[in-house]
Amino acid sequence: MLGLMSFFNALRRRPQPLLRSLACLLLASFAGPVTAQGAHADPYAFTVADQAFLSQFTLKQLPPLPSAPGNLQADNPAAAELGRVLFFDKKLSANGEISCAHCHQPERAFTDGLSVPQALGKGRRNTPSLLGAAYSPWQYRDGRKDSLWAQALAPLLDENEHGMTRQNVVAVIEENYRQDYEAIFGPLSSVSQVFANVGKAIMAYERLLIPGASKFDDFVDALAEPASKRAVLSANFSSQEVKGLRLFVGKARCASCHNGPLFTNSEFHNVGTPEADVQSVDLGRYSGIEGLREDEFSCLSAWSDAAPEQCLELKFLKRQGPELVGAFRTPSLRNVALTAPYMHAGQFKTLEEVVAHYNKPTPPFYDRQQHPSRPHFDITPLGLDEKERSALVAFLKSLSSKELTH
Amino acid sequence: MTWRVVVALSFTALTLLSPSRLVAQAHNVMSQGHHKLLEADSTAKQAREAIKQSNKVRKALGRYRYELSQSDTAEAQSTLRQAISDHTLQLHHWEAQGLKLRQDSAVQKTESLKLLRAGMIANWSSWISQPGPLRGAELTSPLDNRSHNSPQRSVHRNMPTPRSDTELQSAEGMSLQVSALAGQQLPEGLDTGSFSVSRQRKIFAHIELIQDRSQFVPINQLHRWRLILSSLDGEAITDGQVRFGGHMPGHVHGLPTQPIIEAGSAPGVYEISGVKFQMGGWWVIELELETSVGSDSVRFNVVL
Repeated sequence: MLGLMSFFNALRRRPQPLLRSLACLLLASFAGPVTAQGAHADPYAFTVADQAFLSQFTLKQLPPLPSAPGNLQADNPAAAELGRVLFFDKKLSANGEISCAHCHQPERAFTDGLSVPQALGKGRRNTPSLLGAAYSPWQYRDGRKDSLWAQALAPLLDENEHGMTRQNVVAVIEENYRQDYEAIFGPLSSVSQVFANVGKAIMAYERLLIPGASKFDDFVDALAEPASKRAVLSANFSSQEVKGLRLFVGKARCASCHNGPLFTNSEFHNVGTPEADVQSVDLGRYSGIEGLREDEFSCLSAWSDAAPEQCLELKFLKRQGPELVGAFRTPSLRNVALTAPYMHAGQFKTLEEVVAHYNKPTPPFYDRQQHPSRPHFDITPLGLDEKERSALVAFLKSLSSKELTH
Repeated sequence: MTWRVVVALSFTALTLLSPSRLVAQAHNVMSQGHHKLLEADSTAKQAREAIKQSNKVRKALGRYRYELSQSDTAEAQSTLRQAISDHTLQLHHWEAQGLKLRQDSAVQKTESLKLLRAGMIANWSSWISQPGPLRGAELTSPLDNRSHNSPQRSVHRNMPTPRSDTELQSAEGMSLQVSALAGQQLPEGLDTGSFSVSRQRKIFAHIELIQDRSQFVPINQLHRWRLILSSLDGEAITDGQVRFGGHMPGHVHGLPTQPIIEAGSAPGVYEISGVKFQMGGWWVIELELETSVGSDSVRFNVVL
């Protein structure tokens, strides 16, 4: 039966030569060793080489956290605990109602379910997840911050977000957390120093936000087990998900940029997402470079604990090039099912819309008055049919953590 | 054998083995390579001339054939037939000549690169530990240098036709059809070697990975390379100003970082830090060189 089905499947795949289809049929009917040719017969038939290839995407391959020379307290548990409390503290806002968790809601994988955030005012870009953010050399969708601590400070001062001043923030620390603060950072000192340390404590907490294992990780781990134990594979990972996985690394080319255990290369690409506001275009990484240059809390700043030669990413920063224009950071795809809407300004409501865009992308919007150069565009149509698109979406949904944080 | 002879012999042996002599030999080998390369270039020039000639003759042939078709006197026809016969012979001669010279030139070039490479390896033996091509970790590029056949355009409106399954390949032992080389088409016979002659034939260069952690070029990690620059006669180029650039053919983007090049620990040796690749695939690395022997540029193909 299986052999017959594979034969029909093979026939449906137009480009397959007949001989190859026959080979599929023969192999499948003998249930012989799994070979590359026989693969289409059974989507679950993965080879040892497949397993080795797929394991590069599993959380087991996640390296230790990158070192954080700019923040000496990055791995101090006491700092992380203070950071956790600050993260959820609404006192750190002008109206006493906004905490970091207002937009970074843990149950939504630290996003807010909105196209663009709504705090004291309305933001411009979609709230990114924080799970695994510690692994990225850049923060924000345009990478205008080079550390989690520098990033954590910006929303506090933004009038559309927390709407605080540095003095306000320091006052909150002085009134509520003086003892905890001083145990970690020493006596309260200058306003800017205390303010910077607030970011460093929040960063120490955020470094603990590592995504938990997903069905996908379990599936790839199980592939390493002897064939006899693989029978249960299909119970936990549907054939639809397996097909989607095969497309993800293959025809759909997602893995070109969404690579590694966090499914991201943390770099910047223009994928032609429709411009959210054509009157005021978003220059993405191009403006992020400006932001880095002006940032008072970068790795090179007086508030950083790093020696200048330790700021490697800034040292080798790419400052110009057409590929910076309108490019945004590749997001992690872990827990992607929980982080709708999608893209840098929440342009797409569902994963189906996202996949449809990649399948038939539109070139980036270009306005000579606003863009410094024609935006670079790095994707081409995929030619996925409806079934393939839904399989891909099914696979993306399998990346949700069983328990959100590791 | 008298002691004098023994001393003289040992002296000769020492001289033969002394570093300066080895260096001199290496220079000599590179000079031979240089000479061979000039020969190859000159042969290539002759080949181009021969091909030009054959094109001329072909044109003339066409003209005679046309005239023959229009001619109505027997005498004129006979003259034209004779001319056509002569020119056909000439055409065969020039075509064969062009082809032979082109092949000769390719052979000479291969030989010259072999000599240059051997000379450089001998001369910088303490600094060259990986004479082979730069490699990415196998897991990130299971298809090595195989590629699919899609004509690839990455910029806008006239988009390529949708890809079909035939463009995907399975590596040895894999059932997964992994999109090869990030959608690039690798030219046949692409030279991915780590030694290269510069465009203006002024400089011979070698690159290799400085192995901090792994023997493979990593994806998404800053890492360092070593660069060796020499004249084609084996003289170290010590004062070079190098600008490091790179791009992925078929993708419009360049490198995600701006690497920095500094003179290294020995004449002709440089260290490139801050190299990073955000994708596997075919990268073209282009070094713009400002040196005492002039400005020039050198290219390497790296397939990760």
